[in-house]
Amino acid sequence: MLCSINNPAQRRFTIRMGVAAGSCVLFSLVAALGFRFGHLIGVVAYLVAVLPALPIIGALVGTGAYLTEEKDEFQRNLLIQSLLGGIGATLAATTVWGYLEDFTHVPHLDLILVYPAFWLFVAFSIPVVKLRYQ
Amino acid sequence: MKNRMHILRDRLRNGLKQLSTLQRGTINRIFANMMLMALISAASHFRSEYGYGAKTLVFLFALLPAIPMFAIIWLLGRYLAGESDEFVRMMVVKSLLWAAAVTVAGDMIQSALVALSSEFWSLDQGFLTIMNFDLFFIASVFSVAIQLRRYR
Repeated sequence: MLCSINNPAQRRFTIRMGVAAGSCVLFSLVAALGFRFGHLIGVVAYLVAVLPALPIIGALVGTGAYLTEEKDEFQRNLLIQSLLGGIGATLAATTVWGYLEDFTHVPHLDLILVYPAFWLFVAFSIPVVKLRYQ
Repeated sequence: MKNRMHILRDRLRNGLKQLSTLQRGTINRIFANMMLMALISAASHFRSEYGYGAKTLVFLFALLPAIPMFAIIWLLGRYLAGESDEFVRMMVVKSLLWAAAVTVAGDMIQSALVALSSEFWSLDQGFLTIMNFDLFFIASVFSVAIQLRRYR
């Protein structure tokens, strides 16, 4: 799959995102097992809770690095617009759900789902943004 | 203290003077949308306080804040498309990315801490979900300020 990507910036971006996703799964597993079986308390518990968030920051820093490295202005704008779409949709969805949680009896949204939802909305935004340029 | 406030006010005034028409217009419109959001939020709490609990009204007030929120994101997109200075554009994009990172990382940490102790911060869960936008906005303002300082 990586060999089919000719653009070096995009290849590096794909590798970085893969590493971040893998680390996120691994760290989440470590945190979940730690809390379930390790009965963590105090500072250690807080440090373990922060652990799964580190690859998330890494992934978004990697996205920023890709935007700096990408030479193709069109590709860069495409990703920027898709990211904005993703951010907007995520914030709108969480706010609407938050109000519904406050005033009606909708089930609680676990905030751990916000990160995958953000990338899902970005993925949905890409074809929409591309449609504009056809 | 008073002196410090004066220095801060002068800095803010000078900073605003240096902005381009596009930048100033975008900031004004974002501010107007924020005010609209605050009004909707206040109306929503007023509705809840005085017991207007019709389902349609509840859904309407839950959906209404999404409109100014999308308007702000659209304004940012329009600003990025219109900004002719490549350096400033990249700085704004990086700030938005940092803000998104802070928001989702904050959500993840908070989620793990709630799993650790269900009464973490004693705040209700719905309130924390609504706070996402505020966290994003504050983080992006801080990020712009940090980058401006870095590149000064």
